[in-house]
Amino acid sequence: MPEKRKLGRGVAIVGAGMSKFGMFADKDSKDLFAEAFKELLSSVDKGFDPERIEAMWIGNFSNDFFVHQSHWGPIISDLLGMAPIASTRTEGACAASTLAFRDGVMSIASGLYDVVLVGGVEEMSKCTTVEVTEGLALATSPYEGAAAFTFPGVFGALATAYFDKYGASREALMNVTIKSHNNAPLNPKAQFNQTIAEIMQAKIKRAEEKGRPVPSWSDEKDALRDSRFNPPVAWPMCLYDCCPISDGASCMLLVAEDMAGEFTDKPVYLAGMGQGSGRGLHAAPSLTSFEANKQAAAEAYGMSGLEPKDIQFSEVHDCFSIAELIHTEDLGFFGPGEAFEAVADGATKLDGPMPINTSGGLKCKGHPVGATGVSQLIEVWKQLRGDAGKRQIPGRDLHVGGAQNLGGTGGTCTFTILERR
Amino acid sequence: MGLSERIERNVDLSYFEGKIPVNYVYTYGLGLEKFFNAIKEKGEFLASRCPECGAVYFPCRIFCERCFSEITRTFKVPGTGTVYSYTVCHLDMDGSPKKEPDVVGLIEVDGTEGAKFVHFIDAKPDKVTIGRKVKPVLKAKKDREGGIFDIKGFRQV
Ligand SMILES: [Zn+2]
Repeated sequence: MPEKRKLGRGVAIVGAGMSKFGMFADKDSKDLFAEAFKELLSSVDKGFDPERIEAMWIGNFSNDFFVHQSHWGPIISDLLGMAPIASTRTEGACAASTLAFRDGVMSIASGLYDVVLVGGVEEMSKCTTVEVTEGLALATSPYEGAAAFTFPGVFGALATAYFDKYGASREALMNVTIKSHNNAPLNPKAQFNQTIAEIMQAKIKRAEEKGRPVPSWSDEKDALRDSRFNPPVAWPMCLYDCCPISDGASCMLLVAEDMAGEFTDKPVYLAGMGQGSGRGLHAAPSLTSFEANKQAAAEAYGMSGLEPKDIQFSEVHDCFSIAELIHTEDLGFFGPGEAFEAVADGATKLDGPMPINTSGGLKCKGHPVGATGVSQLIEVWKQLRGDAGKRQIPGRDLHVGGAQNLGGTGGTCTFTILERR
Repeated sequence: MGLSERIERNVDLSYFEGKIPVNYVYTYGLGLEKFFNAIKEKGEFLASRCPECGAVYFPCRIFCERCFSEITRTFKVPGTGTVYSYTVCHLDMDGSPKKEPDVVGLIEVDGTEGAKFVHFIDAKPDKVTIGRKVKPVLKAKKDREGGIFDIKGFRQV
């Protein structure tokens, strides 16, 4: 029974850091993790001695494939000068670092450790596109990849099913993309930092300079409908529905709840967490919902005693625009088939009643797969502490936020609820 | 930008080229081996039913995932079905545009309690509709090798 699951003792997040996300020709995974950890050190309000870290977990999906190097646990502990403490790599496709976070939480909850580091790293830009696509497709179900169903194709089929069932159209996906691109320029760590309107202006200016025909888009959606601006990848997924290829790292410092005051006067606590697994699409009971999401949400809500209406904002795994709609329905923020209208009404904007992906989401912040889960939790942590800068959710007294992470084609889903007391 | 941007070695750091000579062998497992052999030899699609609890599996399995009973017998299904969902692939694995886009669908297979098959649908993208009946198109027997591509795709009827 998911609602019965409780931690043996509470866990607080007292520090966090992430590298900038993007494609970095001049940095490798170790450089990126060092950048993230350096920020973590300065984020602990009362300062702390890294010697206090007793163990660490590092999420990584496929650096073995991307940069020909596996065994990232000890590589990172060595990098940070923390060897010989225990350091373990976790793998759950794009949910790899949320699994690192969960393992860290469980190690504290069990009483084994008091202070642990969790994080993730991925370096994808050193491969060619075909290699990255092949590498990522390793996380589809064995039945999907074989028949040309790589990630854009799978999510394209989910979108087709969603449109058919609920009467939505590509307009719904455009609303998600425009919203994410409006948040991204406010996040200095994001890979993309332009709104769709700004990208349009830049393209118009370039056309004028080069003496080419100047596009006459009437608005953002008009541009997104133009296949020269937004070419189809796996219809109905077009370029601006797909997250980019990214490099990046993220990390967090977790401590036992009763020790949080030694590190900060503004701790954020874990309220609930859940994880589920799902079948391949060929056997999935629905294409408009992920069964693993439902399991993860039931566990997280049960542990926290909270309900969907209590979650004030959330990061969700928008690897493709359609996924954002499905996740917000699976987590109960909106009813089945209702997310697309809510997004059209502006509900998920930064100043809307249910802000989603204030970071810009995977679409704009970037998606270095092994670093993504913890980076989502960092966004929630920052918002709850009031540290989110220009993208701080305005005019709200924030206490509870969520982060949902997906691996593969829904094979792994997690939902984590953080709170400020 | 993501999938359509051509990135070839995004590296300013010093590096050496890694080339791992890997020749993968993907095995089908016992259940799928039976399934693909039947397509190759007889052009037949095999499902199986658990003798204990009655659960139906497609492709055929060697044990029941619900009650763990051994499954030894298979039965034929026609291989026909309906379009459950689909996507239209415009770009190739390397991000370059395909000459003709491919329609890839999830086919809900008749007589299988809702199992889905992922494969090509042989139709123009604007002619595909969810719920349409489809039938499989196999390669000629002499060209069949005992794998997923012994099926050329599904055609709307
Ligand atoms: Zn059975």
